[in-house]
Amino acid sequence: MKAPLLQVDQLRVQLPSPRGTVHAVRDASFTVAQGEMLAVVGESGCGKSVTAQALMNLLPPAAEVSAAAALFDGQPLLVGHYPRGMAMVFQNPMATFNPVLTVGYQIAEPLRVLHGYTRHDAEREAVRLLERMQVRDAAQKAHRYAHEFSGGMLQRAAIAMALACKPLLLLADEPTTALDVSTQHEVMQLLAELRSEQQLGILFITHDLGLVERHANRVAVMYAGQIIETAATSNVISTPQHPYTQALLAALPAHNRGKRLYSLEGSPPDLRQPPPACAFTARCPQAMAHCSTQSPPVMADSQHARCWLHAGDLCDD
Amino acid sequence: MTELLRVSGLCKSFGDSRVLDDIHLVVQRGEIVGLAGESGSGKSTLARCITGLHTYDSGSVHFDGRLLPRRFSAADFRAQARHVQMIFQDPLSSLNPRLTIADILCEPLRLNSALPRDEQLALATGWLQRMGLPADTLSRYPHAFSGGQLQRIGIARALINQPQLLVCDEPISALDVSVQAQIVNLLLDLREELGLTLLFIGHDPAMLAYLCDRIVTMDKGRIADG
Amino acid sequence: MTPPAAEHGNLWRDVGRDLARNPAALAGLATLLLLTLFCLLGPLLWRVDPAAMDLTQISQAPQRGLQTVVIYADAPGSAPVPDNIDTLQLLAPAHTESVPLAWPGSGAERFALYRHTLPPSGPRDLGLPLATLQPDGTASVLHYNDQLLLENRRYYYSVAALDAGNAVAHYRTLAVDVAHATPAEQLRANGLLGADERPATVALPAHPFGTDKLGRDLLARLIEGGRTSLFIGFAAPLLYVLAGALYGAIAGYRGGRTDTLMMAFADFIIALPFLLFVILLRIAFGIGPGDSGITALLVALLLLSWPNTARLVRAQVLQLRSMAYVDAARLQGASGFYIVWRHLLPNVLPSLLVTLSFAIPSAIFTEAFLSFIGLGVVPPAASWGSMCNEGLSTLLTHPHELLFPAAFISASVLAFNLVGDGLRDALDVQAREARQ
Repeated sequence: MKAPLLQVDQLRVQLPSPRGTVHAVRDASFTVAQGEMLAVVGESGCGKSVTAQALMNLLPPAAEVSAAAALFDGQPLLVGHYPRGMAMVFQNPMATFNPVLTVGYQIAEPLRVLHGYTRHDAEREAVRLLERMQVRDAAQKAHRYAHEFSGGMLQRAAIAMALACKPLLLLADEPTTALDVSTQHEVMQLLAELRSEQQLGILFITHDLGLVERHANRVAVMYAGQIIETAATSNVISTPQHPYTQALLAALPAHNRGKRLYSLEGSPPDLRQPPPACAFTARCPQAMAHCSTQSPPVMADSQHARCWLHAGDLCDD
Repeated sequence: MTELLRVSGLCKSFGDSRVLDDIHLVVQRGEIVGLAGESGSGKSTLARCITGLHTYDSGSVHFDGRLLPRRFSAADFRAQARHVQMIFQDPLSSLNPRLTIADILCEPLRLNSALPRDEQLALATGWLQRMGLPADTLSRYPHAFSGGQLQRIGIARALINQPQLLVCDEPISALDVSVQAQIVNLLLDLREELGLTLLFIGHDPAMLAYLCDRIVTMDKGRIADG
Repeated sequence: MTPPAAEHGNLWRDVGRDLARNPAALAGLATLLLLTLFCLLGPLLWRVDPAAMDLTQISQAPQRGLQTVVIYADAPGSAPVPDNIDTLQLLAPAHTESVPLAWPGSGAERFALYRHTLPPSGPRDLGLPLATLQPDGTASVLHYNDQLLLENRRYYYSVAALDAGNAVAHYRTLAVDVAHATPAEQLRANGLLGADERPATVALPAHPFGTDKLGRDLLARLIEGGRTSLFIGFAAPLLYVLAGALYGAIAGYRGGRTDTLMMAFADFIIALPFLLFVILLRIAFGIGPGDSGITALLVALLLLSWPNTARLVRAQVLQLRSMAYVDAARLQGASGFYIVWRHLLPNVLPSLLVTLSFAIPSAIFTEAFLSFIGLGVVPPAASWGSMCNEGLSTLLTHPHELLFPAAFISASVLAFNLVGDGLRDALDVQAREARQ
């Protein structure tokens, strides 16, 4: 079995803020294999974006990032500079591009800077990437500016720019959230094709479980800075184990036709004072007495949920 | 009559482009009608024309049998305030950050009813309870609340004068999945309790299919299907 | 969104808390408080008429209370000159009415007497030449009584022996501390000495900040000047910022042609030259060149300064107009005026406050400048700017006359700027946190 492309073990991120340190990511562990799409799913404030930024070394210098192990393609991560071989796509394509430079110039830039292309070759390759992203009239579009693109097209240009870095792993931070529904599916389709074609690993961050159903291989669900369930997508959708995952699914209309949508009470805990044991205890409909005092163990089998409801399965007593 | 809203032949242009082209729409009392479409299809513009926030070039809007003016004056708004209200997409910008929740909720009552202040506050408190918001909400400011809570306050404000039609301009698009479910359940409950009619604009087909009795799709300023 | 923050409350309370954490802003506020107390309580605690001229102490440096030697008219005349002395020396105690000096008259053809305020550094730096004397053969002692513009300070007198070519061959220096002296009639005229009293010294009125070149007490003038400068500094900006805000809010809210016309008019006002208008207004109000023109100054400031605020407010209102809560208010039947007053202006208020705290030092400075060039407040009325003008002529000899009013202007302008900076930073934080 080949070593995973990305291996992160017990990642911790602390961000200083005027009102106390925020423990944004607490002991998150996950892997991404080559050619696999791992979807990291969670709601606002769960720490998913911070995780990706930590891997890419994009957090402010005041942030404290540590991990028991963090390896990318066999090389150590978190060494204080941007890791070659990883590229990132962000939520707002308008903010990804510099408004005073042409889109083509910006797509060609990584080719020149990272891979030593000449200007002429880089421009040609940029147009080819745009064509691959199914942007019509790519040659002309490359000379246009960001505000002349529609949202979906610009996001595809952003993916082209990420691909110009020739990455082994693509981090996508909610790339479709700002797009129309039909465009969302087009972009997801595109990413799935890239994945199989180039054996590109993809870490796809989103709050929409329904979106990744079709295209992600595995899903990691995040809550309050922790990864509380990891499993193959089909398993998560059909038999979610952690009560939070169950709640998320029960809130989706597509999975609850005819039934009343389930809505969770309360809100996520304040990560300036993270709860000692299971962070979901306060809102969990199946909480037990010891959930708030003892942290449930993390197990390393193919589907595991960080929950006392399922820890007992592996215990001998 | 059962017909609450009738839009006939509505047209609006911005300069050269036709943002709304010959729109026909009927909403029956008690219905939840969904308005779907891509961004730029004109659904928000249509909603704003119906409520009077935008003017339009030709066509007509009838509410409860009455013809509404094409250009609303403040008096026209006042006449409609107890009949049609709206909730908005961005929860934070829909509430004035400098006012307390009490001021925000009592404003519709001050402008459109003769209730004394203490009765206004009692009514506001009742609505907050119904929305599941804590008792001390009245004295706090909008930035102390989460998106879902703000949206619920917005709904309370819109419904406090008991209008018949609530126009919802993508109210859940900016919210987390579990909070979306909360709001949608709330709207369904309110329809049951108050006999409310909803015109719901959204872009998530699954959610629209779940919530709405009937969906009208718009594309580039026109109604896409009959 | 992040969970609700329980500590948040009133915007003003949060702003106050942030300001309290800003040492520069606190220092500014403290300075302003002191200056205000200075101007308000000053006249009660220091009852001296700012226009009264104490001719016994002209251009006096700050002092706690001076003793002056009384010179009686019937006192004996000049001190006797001895027949023989061996060095440069005083013939009698030196005071500001007379410094009698004598030195041996032998050893050179001619002698020159110099007076310096600093110790001379060499033959070319002996100071002010007072006299050139030639021994006339008989007397072996030369003498000279210096009465030239003496002040109560230390002088360095040098007697230089001149050679044939009038160059300094050698010289001697004597340090002399000159005591303050006043003729008795002057003291009697000022009520400081009774007709029958004959004390040796008399205490002069104290002037903690000194006096100006007409003998007026600087402390009293600083207090009165402060009242004038701060009044103009507060009143004018308050009025024109409010006027500009209303104008800009209406233009921004109405939009369309109304907006275009209103802002075109505002642009026209910006183009008008300020100084020219002050002069024109003075003529229009019939204020002559020697009169104080506070009214003209105020009117000019008000008429010409509001457009900047109008522009600022209009830009903000344009942005706020698209907020959903404005739509919500319209849907409730609110009138345009209600929306501007209740929803738009309160949200513009924070940046308006920052504008105000920068407009005030600007107005203080404008008044100071105009008074400095004679177009504002004119003596004997006092304002810090006019005091600077008066103090300019004695800058090299009595710098305190210029330095004190200049320091007060600088301190108040700096204080307002620091407070404005602090307010702006505090409001930024609020805006940032509200957006999270």
